[in-house]
Amino acid sequence: MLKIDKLNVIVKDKKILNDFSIDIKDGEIHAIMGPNGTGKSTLSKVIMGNKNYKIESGKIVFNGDVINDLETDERARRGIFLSMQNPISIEGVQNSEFIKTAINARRNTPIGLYEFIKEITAKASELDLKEDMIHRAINVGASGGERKKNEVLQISLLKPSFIILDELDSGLDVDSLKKVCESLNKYLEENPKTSVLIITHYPRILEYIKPRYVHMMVNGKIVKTGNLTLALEIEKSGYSDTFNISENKVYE
Amino acid sequence: MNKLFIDNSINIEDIVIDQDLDLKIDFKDEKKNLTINVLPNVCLRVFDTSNNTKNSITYNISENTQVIINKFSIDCSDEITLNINKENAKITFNTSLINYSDNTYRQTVNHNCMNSESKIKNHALNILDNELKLVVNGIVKKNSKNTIFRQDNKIINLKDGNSFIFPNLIVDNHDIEASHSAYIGKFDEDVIFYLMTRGLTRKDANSLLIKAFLINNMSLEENEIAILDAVVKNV
Repeated sequence: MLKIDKLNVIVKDKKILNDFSIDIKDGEIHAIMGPNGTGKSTLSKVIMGNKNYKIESGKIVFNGDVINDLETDERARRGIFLSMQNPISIEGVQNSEFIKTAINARRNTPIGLYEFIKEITAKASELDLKEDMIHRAINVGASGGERKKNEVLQISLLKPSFIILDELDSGLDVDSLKKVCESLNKYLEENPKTSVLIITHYPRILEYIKPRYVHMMVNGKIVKTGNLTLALEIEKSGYSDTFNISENKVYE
Repeated sequence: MNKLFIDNSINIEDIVIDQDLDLKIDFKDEKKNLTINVLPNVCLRVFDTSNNTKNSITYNISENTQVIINKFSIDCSDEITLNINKENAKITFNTSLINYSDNTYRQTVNHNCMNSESKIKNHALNILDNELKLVVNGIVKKNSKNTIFRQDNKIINLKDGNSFIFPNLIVDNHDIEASHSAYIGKFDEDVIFYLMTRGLTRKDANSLLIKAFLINNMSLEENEIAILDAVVKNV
């Protein structure tokens, strides 16, 4: 599904990703954990084609094609979805109109209004998302939890094949996290070839969406790979002890 | 509510409104002086879609009135004056401008009495590299206790236009609420990135933002939205 090979990325003359490599196969769930500022969110934005990040060398291959030079929207239409850490609010743009436009960007013929309303209402109800969120301007006046639910609502309607969850658990209370993860697990059951990359600080989300691999990322590269046990070890001992390096080196 | 339609074919300089009214103004390529006198206890709703005009329109507003103006214009150098002359007048004035040439849009709100309220919202889209000036004056006189005056101005440059906003506020009474704001810039790249991550092309993302900026900032009826939608799609 997604293979990243020796990716080096710079932002404002600072190297953020350093020979970063990962191979995520169809249907696999991977998690990346790492200290603040180690490049986890940068990775998600680079996969999505954000122009603020410059790829110095290396390749991002999605379903066999190198996508380094593809525009963000084309990556999205090929099936990559980035659920953002802090989904932004957009004054004046109605959520339903935006989602409908995004659905139609993937279709040859526009979705019928009745079909769209039926589907969006059902999915919002599954997530316990208030119906007025659908008709409101995107995330305007929404709580952190509502914003994350809105991201998951979009996943269920846009049907991506590769999902990046960038700190999905931040801003969500325990009940909301459970609800959102149930919805995602249902989606993954219905679409078993979908791959997921979870970026997180805490193993709590990994109890609900169980990864096959957990990677520890330090200074822009993966330094250790394991399974859920690694995540629990990181939580117990911290990044320094888990990787057996000094704290200064981790945060440098 | 009664309806009145004014366009180039009607030669009129003064209008007196003595009952609730839906007023539609649609001048094209015109330079005209028009005075609209709103009498007491009247609710007036104006939908102004004039294009390529250099009109001078003055509203004289009496007591216990509610005036809602939605103005959507292309290449407009109009000068609009609102004289709020008597108490308990409540004005909402939303302007959306599309600019393709050099223009100056002037708006003056004179609060000449106490207990009145005006909320001004101006959104302008400067499409090319031309000059666009918004001069927005709020004048609150000494006898205007308990006045509420707010103005919010934004210009989005799609290219490298020379845009200016003059959000003037002249207040001569301490017992009022007033605010003014001005923003000139482009659409936020983070917002465009967010929309593109969902599969919208840059063009589609811009179209959604333009529609939101120009149409959704006004309080319009369905048929009015449909009219403006068709215009905005061609930007």
